[in-house]
Amino acid sequence: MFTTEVTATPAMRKSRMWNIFLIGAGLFLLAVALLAPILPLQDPGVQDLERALRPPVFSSRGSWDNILGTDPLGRDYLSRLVFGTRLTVIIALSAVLLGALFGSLLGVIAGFKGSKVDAVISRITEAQLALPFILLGISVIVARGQSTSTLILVLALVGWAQYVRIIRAETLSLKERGFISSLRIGGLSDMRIIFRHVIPNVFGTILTLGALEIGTMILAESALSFLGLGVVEPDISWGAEMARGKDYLQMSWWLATFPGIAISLTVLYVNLAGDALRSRYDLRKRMF
Amino acid sequence: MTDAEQSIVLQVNHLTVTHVVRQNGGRRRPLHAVDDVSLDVRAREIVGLVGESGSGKTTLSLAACGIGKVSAGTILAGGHDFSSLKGVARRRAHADVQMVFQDPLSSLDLRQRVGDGLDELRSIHPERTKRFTNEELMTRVGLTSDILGRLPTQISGGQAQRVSITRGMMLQPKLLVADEPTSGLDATVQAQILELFESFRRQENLAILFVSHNLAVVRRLCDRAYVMKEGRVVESGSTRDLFERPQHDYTKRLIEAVPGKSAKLAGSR
Amino acid sequence: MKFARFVLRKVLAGLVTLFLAATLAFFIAKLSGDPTIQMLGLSATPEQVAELKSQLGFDRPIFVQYFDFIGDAARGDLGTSLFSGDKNLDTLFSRVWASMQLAVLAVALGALIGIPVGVFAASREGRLGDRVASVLSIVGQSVPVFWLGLILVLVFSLNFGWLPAGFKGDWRNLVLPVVTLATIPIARIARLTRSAMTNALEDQYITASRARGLTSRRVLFAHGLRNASLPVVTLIGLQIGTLLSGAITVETVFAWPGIGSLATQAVTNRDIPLVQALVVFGAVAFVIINTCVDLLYGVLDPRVREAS
Repeated sequence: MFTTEVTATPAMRKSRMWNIFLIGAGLFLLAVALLAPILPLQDPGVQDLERALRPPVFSSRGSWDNILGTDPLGRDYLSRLVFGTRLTVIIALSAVLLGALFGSLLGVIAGFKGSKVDAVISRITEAQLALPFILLGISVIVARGQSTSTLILVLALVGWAQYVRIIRAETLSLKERGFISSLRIGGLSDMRIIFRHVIPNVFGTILTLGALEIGTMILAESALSFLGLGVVEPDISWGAEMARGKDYLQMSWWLATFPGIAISLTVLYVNLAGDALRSRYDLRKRMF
Repeated sequence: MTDAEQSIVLQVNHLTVTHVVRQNGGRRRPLHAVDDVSLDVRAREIVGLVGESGSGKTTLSLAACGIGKVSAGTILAGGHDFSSLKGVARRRAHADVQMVFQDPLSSLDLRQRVGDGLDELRSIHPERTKRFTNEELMTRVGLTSDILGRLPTQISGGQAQRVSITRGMMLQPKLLVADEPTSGLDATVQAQILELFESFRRQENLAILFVSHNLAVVRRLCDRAYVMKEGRVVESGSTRDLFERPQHDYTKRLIEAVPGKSAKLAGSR
Repeated sequence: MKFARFVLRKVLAGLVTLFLAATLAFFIAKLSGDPTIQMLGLSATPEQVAELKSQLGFDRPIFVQYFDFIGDAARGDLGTSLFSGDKNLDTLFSRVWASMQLAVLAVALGALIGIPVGVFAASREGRLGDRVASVLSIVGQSVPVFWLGLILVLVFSLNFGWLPAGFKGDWRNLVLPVVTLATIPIARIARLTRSAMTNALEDQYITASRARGLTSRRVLFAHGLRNASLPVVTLIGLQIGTLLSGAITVETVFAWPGIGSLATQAVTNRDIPLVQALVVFGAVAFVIINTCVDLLYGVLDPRVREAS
């Protein structure tokens, strides 16, 4: 599964206003996720079968009570969507952290040690990349049972390989530069060189890659939830809401539509922010 | 130790460094980057290693410092045989043989301030680095102490090279391997760096293996020199002999290529 | 002779990757947990669990299971479905054609639209056309593809009634799923074409020619396209592989009888052997396609044969 790669235009990239907007949007997203319980929203878990399947406010039968309508069990959709932000953010961030940690470390070791260690790590990474992501996720979830932690594990499992290749390449180009030889001659141990010199130098790449991967993770999580493999009730995920909405597509179109908009906007934001990060760290453009 | 019996600081015996190169057509051919080379450097000598790129001189330098690959032969550098040392002993031994690279910026961690880099070396070699403070180290190479707070990207090429030299010298090595330390620097700075090497040789009992393709500099600085071509030593001797009475064709060609020297050569024949 | 050696090398590498991938998949699944509990539900008694385990052979030592798995897989036996009782390989083959249809058509559409868009964006580099293309590409990569499918169904099928929502019928059933799936390759191919062309146009040789006023627009484009053709062709090949296994959600949305919806069924039924067979199958497809793409690359670009 490829990393989501994005190229914003030069004009957008350099604008100061743009950066401010990005930071603001990010804070907003985090705030919504964190503060959801104390916002003036209805309880997303409360069922009210009399108000089931109400359309959003701008439709003829809608009302301001439920701005975005209600789901088949009468739960307010706006609040469900807002609460859905929390898990989306937590899962995506956790998966990225886990995957980035593991994958980057392997990449650094592979690039640094070279020869046999590199060969082994690279082979295994290639093998991992040959495995179809959703299917692999399915096999793990079916074995472990559904839960949020399983989901995070699966996403990290699917994502770690991306880091290995790129970080390994970065490490190799650091070696080319010669300062690692210079540090060795200075008497530094390999461990010390890796942790005090290589990792700080590749950290920018890791950060950028991680930022872009967040978008991929969100999409992957929503896909898994859509297939019924994601979060478990009463937890709320946008993908799961869409899965339910699929069955009501004809009459209650909002059930499937709004979660998708939420996902798209969030991932769009993450991609734009990731791209801004990337241009800041001035990585060479990669074709793949 | 008497003057007559100068200790040998670098002893290279029949060194061969082989790389396996896959040629066109899939055949693997061994390439000898260094082919059966023997040389030595004694204390307080400045010995030159001359050759064009691809002659194997950098490979030899790295091997001499204990971090390059050795396929055959032995190297005794600063009294150590690095191939038989491991772990902490090996890392300590490195202090006796230091290297100055061609491009100072690529041999420094660009994210580490100069002073922090020096402190790091101190923490690894506490005994050896007790002699000078960071400020004194700066003064020794002709830099001001405000350099300590800067990043390598914030100083000039000449300053960066001096920082590199400081990092090497502060460990009190017996041998300094300088691989093209002055290329890329302008003439005045070059002269200053060479001056620095000379003063170290006098004051610190230091031996220097000076690797370069720049014959004019080698002539000026070195007592003796070896000429390398395609991994082999083709000629060696005192720099005077080499320049005034070159034996090998290759040596002659190198000398002739130096602007301003051909007249002198013609005159001495 | 050189080429034969190249082919051999690539095929061997592919087999090694395949072997490692299958091994990885096996151990990841095994070490993830005990699926028998999942399959029987929480109310299962220990006896029922033990019985199911021995029935499936899960109570044997793990390496014995592994060798059986690899041995069987090498001989083409991917196990038997727990629920249908059919041989998994047969089931897979019966449905792979449907998925291939979607994948190939989607990639074809992707190339058909993506390449011109990429060329257009490269030609208008930095200007409005390029910016619009970039924005569209970014948006395209942010939208979950299955949601797009749902929206298309909503609009074109339920609302306007122009196109059917799914199931396999005549060509009209293909339109929506293919269009939905095609958004992924369109975005990727467009972006790759654009960057490959702009890279080519920045080529020193071109800049030099331009400086001397020697190059016409047509020559510029020819040069750019030549440079882009190789990576784009390989991407197209790779995309088929990605889409083959990545179309699960789309097939689910459109109730398309391919491998993807088979996977969803397997999930619902907790049909472990079938899921495992699907993973292996996916890896096989991926490796075969990748190897073919590598070989194609070797045919088209002689330099590659020497390197690696």
